[in-house]
Amino acid sequence: MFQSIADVKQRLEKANYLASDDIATVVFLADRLGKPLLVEGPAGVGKTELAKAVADALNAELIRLQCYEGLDEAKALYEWQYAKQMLYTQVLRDRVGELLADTQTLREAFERIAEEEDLFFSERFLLPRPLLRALMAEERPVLLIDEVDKADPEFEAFLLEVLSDFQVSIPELGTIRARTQPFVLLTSNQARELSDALKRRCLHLFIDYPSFREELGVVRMRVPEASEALAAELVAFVQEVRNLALKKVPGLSETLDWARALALLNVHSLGVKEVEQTLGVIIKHEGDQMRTRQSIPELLRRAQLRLREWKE
Amino acid sequence: MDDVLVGFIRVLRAAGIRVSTSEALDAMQTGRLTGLRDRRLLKAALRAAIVKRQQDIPLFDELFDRYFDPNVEELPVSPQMAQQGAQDAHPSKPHEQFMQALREALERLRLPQLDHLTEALLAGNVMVITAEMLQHMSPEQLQQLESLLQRGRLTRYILDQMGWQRIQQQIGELARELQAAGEFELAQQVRERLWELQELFPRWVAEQVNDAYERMSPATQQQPLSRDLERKAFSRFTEEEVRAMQEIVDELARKLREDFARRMRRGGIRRLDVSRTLRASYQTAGVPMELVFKEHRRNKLRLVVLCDVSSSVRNASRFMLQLVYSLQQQRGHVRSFVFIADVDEVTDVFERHSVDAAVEMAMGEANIRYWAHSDFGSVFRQFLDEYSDALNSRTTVIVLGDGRSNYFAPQLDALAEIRRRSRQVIWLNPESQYSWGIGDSIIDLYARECDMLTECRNLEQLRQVMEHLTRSVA
Repeated sequence: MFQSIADVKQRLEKANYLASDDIATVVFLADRLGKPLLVEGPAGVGKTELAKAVADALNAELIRLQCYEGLDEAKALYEWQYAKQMLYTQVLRDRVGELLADTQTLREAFERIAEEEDLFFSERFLLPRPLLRALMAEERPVLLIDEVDKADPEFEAFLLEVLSDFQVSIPELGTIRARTQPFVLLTSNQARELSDALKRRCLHLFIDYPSFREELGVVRMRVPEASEALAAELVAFVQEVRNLALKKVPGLSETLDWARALALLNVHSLGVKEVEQTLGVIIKHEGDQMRTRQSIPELLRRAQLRLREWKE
Repeated sequence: MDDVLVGFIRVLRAAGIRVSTSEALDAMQTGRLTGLRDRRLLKAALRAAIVKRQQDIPLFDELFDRYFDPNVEELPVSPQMAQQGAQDAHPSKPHEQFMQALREALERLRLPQLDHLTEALLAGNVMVITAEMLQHMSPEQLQQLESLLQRGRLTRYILDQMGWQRIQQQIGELARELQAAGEFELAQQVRERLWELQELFPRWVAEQVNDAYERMSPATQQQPLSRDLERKAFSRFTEEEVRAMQEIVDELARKLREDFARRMRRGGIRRLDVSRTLRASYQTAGVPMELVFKEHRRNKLRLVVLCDVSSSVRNASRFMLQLVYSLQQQRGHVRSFVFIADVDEVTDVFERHSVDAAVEMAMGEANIRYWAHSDFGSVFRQFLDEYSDALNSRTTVIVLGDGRSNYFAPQLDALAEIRRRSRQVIWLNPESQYSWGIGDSIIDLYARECDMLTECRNLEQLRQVMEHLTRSVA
């Protein structure tokens, strides 16, 4: 549990995540109200990072369920370990023989085995997948359901059931109820609109591209090897790039990669040449690259202006 | 505290933001956790609990600021108070100081706290007052209003329900008590404020009733869609009518998607995947415990929509764009382009803006020459050059246009190439079939390279096209 909003901020920062006031407030609320938190926003603004940082800050296990098209209950909840069951039967064959030695008829033997059936469908042979693992955890875990918009609407409906009651039923075992209610984070890139029902169940946080100040803060924290001057220059540049009409706008993660790359190349100040050589790190779409390449000098000039404004 | 939030939620709903009961309850809980004092915190918290659509965020922010900061918008201030305020350090907040002084005096003299509405009235917090008023103004009541006389009656009813009489007495009482306690100046201010309110408030309520009535009047009310509209040609729709169709378009898009999903599920016979079943059986000592079936190739609806936005087919395009917008919201894999003589992608625009704004931008702000004459040939050529990554063997390309190419070169080979690289090309022509091939229409020529060419000038035809689309792809 977080103590206060300030506490959230502090502990997330310790986990290497700079949270804005809005983010800290919402995380605090989700923690206190025990509601799932749906985080939406463009790719690469640190949605998944937030989940990792929250797990870190709460000192909790992070259980991650990556969604994709065709993900179904079996892959998200549990599977039976047939191999292990078989192995056990093989090893125990003699014992089974003994057990059945004094039975007279087939029917009797059958009955005897049936009495032991529970053994074979017990938690011992159950392979829990992320959702079930989160429910069965002894200590409160952080459950990250990543890119929920990629899953099919049917799966969303199933998720809804789990998230509202925090329990699932397994036909052979009965109902399993969460031992501790996990801290649930869902992320979405808005590839499609999620259902209203799911949205209603969750608190909602929209993370947009960071402001200059925020982004600079993150770069300084995550990539200390880049000098402050360089960091400011490259962040200003990326901020300008985001104003272009690109197909794939560079996110915070691209900025960080770029900062690392430039620091590695011992760049101290951005010029046209440096940018051209490393542009591929922040811009990954071919058409975008061509468009950006043409306007590098202009972008640099505007980035300088932005820097000057900021310094004043 | 709760009634402050309930009032706010009422304002949000009146402004068109959907707030469900469970979300309202969440809002209460978050409000209790954060308290009302720190506005920024409260704003972030309520936003998380209530606003679930990105497009609603700006509206929410604006309403929040107006509701919780009484200085943004005010019932008129008396000239005297305004003057006093002007001489002080914070000229823009005359009420703030008056209210501050009043609250301090109440505390000092151990007088009872003012109730929520009374305080809002004294402070001139319009949003809080509006929230309270909306509670007593139901749509049913407004619908029954016919004459001016009845509007007057509703005004009086609302004033009664809000306890206007009692509030006046309370303020009068307050002034007397302040007077008795020797707070002459403050008492005078309160009295003046009361006179002012008596003058203004009933009139303000009457205006609100009038406004609401105007909004509800039959002229602006949505009529249920009749059979005629189903067959009415898009070109005869007014712009408002097209916009009002959004709901129907949404439904059409949803239906298309659901039909599609259902067809995919039905799928027919499942084929056993022998090799994978055998591989799985190694785990179980060669006993095939688990049968693995061949997966149906998950055919998804992948659309590329090319929409002519020249003035001759404007309405049909607007319609198509709305449909594309809904499709895109519900499922990705739709890429939208607009063209006249050159072509630009608007997929992103659709992702970032509300439907009205997005359609408006596609119709007027994309990176194409809007004043040019339609030139289908160059459009297809340019599309191939720049956006061929949008095409693969599973995409359905939909072209919406009248095929009137102003005698420019048809470049049929470009369309042929598009068709070769995609699953199918469907051409929707919003022009009446009778005029095809007449004048500069080369639609017959293009028809050779389309898998389907159909007249699409009304809702009914559009529905048919969508059904065909589901069948042909699934």
